[in-house]
Amino acid sequence: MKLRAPISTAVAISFGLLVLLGIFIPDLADFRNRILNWAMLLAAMALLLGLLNLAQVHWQRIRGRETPVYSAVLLIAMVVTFAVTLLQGSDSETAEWIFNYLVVPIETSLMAVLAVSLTLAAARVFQQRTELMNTVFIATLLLLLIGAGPLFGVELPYFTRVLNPYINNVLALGAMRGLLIGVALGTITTGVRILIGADRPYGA
Amino acid sequence: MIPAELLAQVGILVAAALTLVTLSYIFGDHPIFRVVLHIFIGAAAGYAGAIAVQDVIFPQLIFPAIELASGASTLDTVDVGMRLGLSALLLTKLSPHTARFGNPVTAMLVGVGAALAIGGAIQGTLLPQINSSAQIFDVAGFDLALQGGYYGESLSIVLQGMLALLAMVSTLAYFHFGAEGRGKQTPQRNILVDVLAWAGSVFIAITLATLFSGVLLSGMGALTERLDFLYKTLSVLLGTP
Repeated sequence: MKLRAPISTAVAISFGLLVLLGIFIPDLADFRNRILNWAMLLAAMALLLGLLNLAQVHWQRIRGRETPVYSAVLLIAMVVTFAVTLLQGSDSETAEWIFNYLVVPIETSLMAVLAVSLTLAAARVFQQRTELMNTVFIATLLLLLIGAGPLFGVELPYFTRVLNPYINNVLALGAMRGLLIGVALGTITTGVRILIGADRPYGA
Repeated sequence: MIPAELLAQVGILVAAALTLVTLSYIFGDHPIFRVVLHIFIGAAAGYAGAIAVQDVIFPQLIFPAIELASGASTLDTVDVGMRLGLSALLLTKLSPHTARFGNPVTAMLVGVGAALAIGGAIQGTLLPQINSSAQIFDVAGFDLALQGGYYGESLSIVLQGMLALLAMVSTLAYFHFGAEGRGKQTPQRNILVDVLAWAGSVFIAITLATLFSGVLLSGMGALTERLDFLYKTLSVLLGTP
């Protein structure tokens, strides 16, 4: 049987085990911290690599006249922001202007659009199928929204002070705990599969 | 040099225009919205990249390398050499022809990430959640209610604890897919697990609705803030109080 990517697999297993053992063996803590510093640097380099790849893809789109306007706008915005933030610092007036008057308004507006999209999605869920799970979902959602605060200036104390905390602190809390334990178990399984070489998501 | 006040006023107008265009997506997709979206992606990516270079790559790679090259360094040569070597290997990923040389570095990142994920899941989620589950019944409150003769209150504490416990166990049962084989019949789940899984689906629907309402309310908050911003900007432009 030919082993696929033996060097990469050995690197992933050995570095992963060293970091994991460093949690439990104090003598390995220094070496573990050194590896973590390298990994942090590599993560920043990977981000830079992603940025360069994004620029490369959009440059090719401009050259191939495939949505050139959008790509040009993206490249200009990226290069200007990158240069200004790097040369003048993230707390400079220009960098703050870009952040406060370009990034934040679009981000907040997209969040606002999300509210409308979610409302429509919830309505569609109820329209398409009336199963038990959908009905429970919509009914709980309506109860929670009614209890979220005063409705047209009128407060409904039973909803805001009794029902809403009961749903959040008893019914949802228990299930959320179950979901979190499930997610943690899934994360551990995936991590262990990588550390024993069963999964190799790092190329051949 | 542009005066700061003028810069702020232009900024408010630009922010108002961007807000209007983004909110117009509610009525459907259009090219101006896409332009604004590309501005956002470009600016956000550029900002994140600059912060990574400024806060991590300069202090951890470039400055130590310059210090080492100048010969007056007290730094660990092996450590700086490793940082330079690993970074150089990762940069080979830029070209498809040299990308395979970067695979061991990617593997290192994946291995370290997996180890951190395991440690984080055990120490940050699993143990605290199990610990909290063990305290699901408010024993002190139950004792106090019983001593005070508030039997209704004590019963309510027990029922709430049982309900929370049922919610947790049934949610875990919902994701249990093990089935027993019965001769030539199709393998089936245990009847108890089946019943628990059904209850779990109800609790999961309630939890998802809770999360959904949280996101929805945040979105509503953002919508209210943006509409208020537009209203105030328009009032200033029109000169109305």
